[in-house]
Amino acid sequence: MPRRTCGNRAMIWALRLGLMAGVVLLWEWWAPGGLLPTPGQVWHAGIGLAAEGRLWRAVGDSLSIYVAGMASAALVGIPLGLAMGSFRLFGRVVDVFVFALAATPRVAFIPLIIVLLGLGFQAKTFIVFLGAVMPVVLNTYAGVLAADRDLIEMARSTGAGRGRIWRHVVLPGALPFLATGLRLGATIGLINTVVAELYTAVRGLGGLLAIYGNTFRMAEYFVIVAMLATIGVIVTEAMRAVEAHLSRWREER
Amino acid sequence: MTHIRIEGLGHAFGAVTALDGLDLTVRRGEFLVLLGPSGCGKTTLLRMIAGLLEPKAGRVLVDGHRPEPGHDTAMVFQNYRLIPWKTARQNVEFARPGTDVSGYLEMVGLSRFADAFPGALSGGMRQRVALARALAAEAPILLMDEPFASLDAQTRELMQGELRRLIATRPSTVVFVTHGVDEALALADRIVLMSPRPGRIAEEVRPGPGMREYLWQRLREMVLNDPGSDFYGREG
Ligand SMILES: Nc1ncnc2c1ncn2[C@@H]1O[C@H](COP(=O)(O)OP(=O)(O)OP(=O)(O)O)[C@@H](O)[C@H]1O
Ligand SMILES: [Mg+2]
Repeated sequence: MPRRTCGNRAMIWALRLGLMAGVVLLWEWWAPGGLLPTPGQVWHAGIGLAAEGRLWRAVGDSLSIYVAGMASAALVGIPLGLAMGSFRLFGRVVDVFVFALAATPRVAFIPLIIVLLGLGFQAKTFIVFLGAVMPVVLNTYAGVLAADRDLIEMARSTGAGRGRIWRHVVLPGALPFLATGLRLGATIGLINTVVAELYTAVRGLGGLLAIYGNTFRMAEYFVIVAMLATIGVIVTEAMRAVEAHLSRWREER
Repeated sequence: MTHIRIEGLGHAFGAVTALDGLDLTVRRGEFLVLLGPSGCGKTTLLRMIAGLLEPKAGRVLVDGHRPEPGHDTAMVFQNYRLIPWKTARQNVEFARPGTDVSGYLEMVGLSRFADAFPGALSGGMRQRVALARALAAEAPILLMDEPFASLDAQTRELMQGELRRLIATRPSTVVFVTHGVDEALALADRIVLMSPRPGRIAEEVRPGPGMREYLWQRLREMVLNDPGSDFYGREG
């Protein structure tokens, strides 16, 4: 794995922070007057929002839909993908529909969701769910299908039955795929959290984005953008760590 | 006396006839080597003896009944087939759930590497794990499919010696596949020569003086007469 060989962690983080500082400095000098806020202004707006408590309420709102949507995506997507891969007839029958749904831009469903579920928590969670569930299902499915035929035959040669083969060979082999699905789902889920807050009842971070954007309060607007970026980075890095942990046997050597 | 009886065994993969009308008897406790050129159906025959592949014609009987994988037979595959996310010990345990397999790891000299993942082991060490796993099954029939083919000559010779030592301590019947004449002569009580397309028993020989040249000659003939060799293969 290249990760191990190119430089150490501390150095990479130092370089990342340095790059960020560089961009911030450039921005501070070259911010086009009036149109865009300077980093300093954004910082002050951030402190103001944090003190007001408004920012934290919005973060709480957004995170609760995000977490609920992701949890339902995992709860539905993982078993569905496993079942599609493990029961071939079921998979063959169902997979076309899942592929079709995955290929349809999910924004197309938002009016329908509003009609059915309203503008509140349920509708928003469902929009997050709908975006996140697809990569989870598809990757889990692919992971089961990618099970190593030779290993399955080896397992049969030891007298292992279907259940034991599934637990020891098929499922563990699919776990890295499953983790990738969750990571991709988590990214789409975050996007859909903001989309949901913009299209339904305007609340949470997406709601603040709309309010500040429409009223040209750009400093506050950038605080929200930075907040969303931070959440995104934390979530994907955590998922990456999970993935690396699940595939740690690959990294020996 | 008879442990494995094979009668009129035939199998085809689509249009490829892998085996046709193959008869063979293996005695209990015998070390039988199947020798034949590449593609003559050795692996296919072994999978059928293991009970992993249902024959399209004929049958395999172990003590008069259909072989049951893991119970009647244990197999060492051509390419190790270790579970990469399990350690050496867990791989061996897979054949013997719920037992302490330290003894088997010790037999193959891998006690120190019990907790290593296959990815961290050399080819020879991986093959030892695969051997330990097959031994751990404690099945009366040990099937080995070119287990040492991918090892360097020196390691191979070492492993052959160890295999003989390990087999001597147990009442196993062994069917060992190879396309190496020297390996066959080093290990076998009896050598069965297989001919390709369709796979059949060509001849049975006992290792002894002069056999090396004879077997080389026979294998050379087979490869030269094989309609599936490169030139004819492209025409068909
Ligand atoms: N799963 C399969 N699907 C299609 N054809 C197969 C399959 N397994 C084997 N064959 C064909 O059957 C014939 C015999 O194959 P087999 O693997 O038994 O030969 P082998 O003697 O073990 O060869 P090698 O020494 O190369 O391992 C070959 O022509 C091979 O291409
Ligand atoms: Mg073979």
